[in-house]
Amino acid sequence: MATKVFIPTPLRQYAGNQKAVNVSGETVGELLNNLTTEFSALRKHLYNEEGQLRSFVNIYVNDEDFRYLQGPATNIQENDEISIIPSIAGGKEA
Amino acid sequence: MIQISNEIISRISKHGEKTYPEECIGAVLGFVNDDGRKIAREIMEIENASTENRQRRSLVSPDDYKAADQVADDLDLDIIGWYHSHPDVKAVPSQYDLDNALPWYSYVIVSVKKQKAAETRSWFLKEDRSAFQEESIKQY
Repeated sequence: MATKVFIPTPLRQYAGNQKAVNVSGETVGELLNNLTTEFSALRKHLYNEEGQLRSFVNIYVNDEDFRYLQGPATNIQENDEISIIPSIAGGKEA
Repeated sequence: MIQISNEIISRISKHGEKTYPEECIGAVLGFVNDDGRKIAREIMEIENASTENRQRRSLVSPDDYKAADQVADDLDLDIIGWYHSHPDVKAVPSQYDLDNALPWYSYVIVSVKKQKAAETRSWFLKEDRSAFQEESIKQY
């Protein structure tokens, strides 16, 4: 089952300059793995060196943050849409 | 290089002065022209959503990001970058800025010293995420 994944503007250059791509996966974790396998340059911007999603990367299943669902184990239903939504954070040195 | 009008620079400065000693944050809306230059056309002030010390942290929530993206779409523009203020320090990105940066965006920083906007500089993330590189601002 292929699911539509919306890519934010700054990351589109690593996803074939597409606004959305179709990726397969039964769960969000599987889908993200397939996404970053197909578009490997996305990986370093989505995940830190420890393999954790970067703090500013939010994954939405339709309008719901996946952290409030079952995280990577969240099952994907037919017609679900996934969005990668960044939080923008800044600040001076502590 | 990013091209920003004097009027927009002035609005960013005023936003930084208004929220001083807290940081301000907002979206820079515009487009990229044929020779790769970013042109700023509009800014959108965003409420600092940080729950940490807002004198040294600024945050755009995912909901505000989506709202800014929608405004950009409505204006037939893109979010080409973000601005925020650095109260009482230089307009140079911090390690925190680096850890949270996305590629491609321009990060415009205005230094606000004693409630008065000083320098405005713009930066973008290097491809390997190792550091920021400064980009020139063409004011007009």
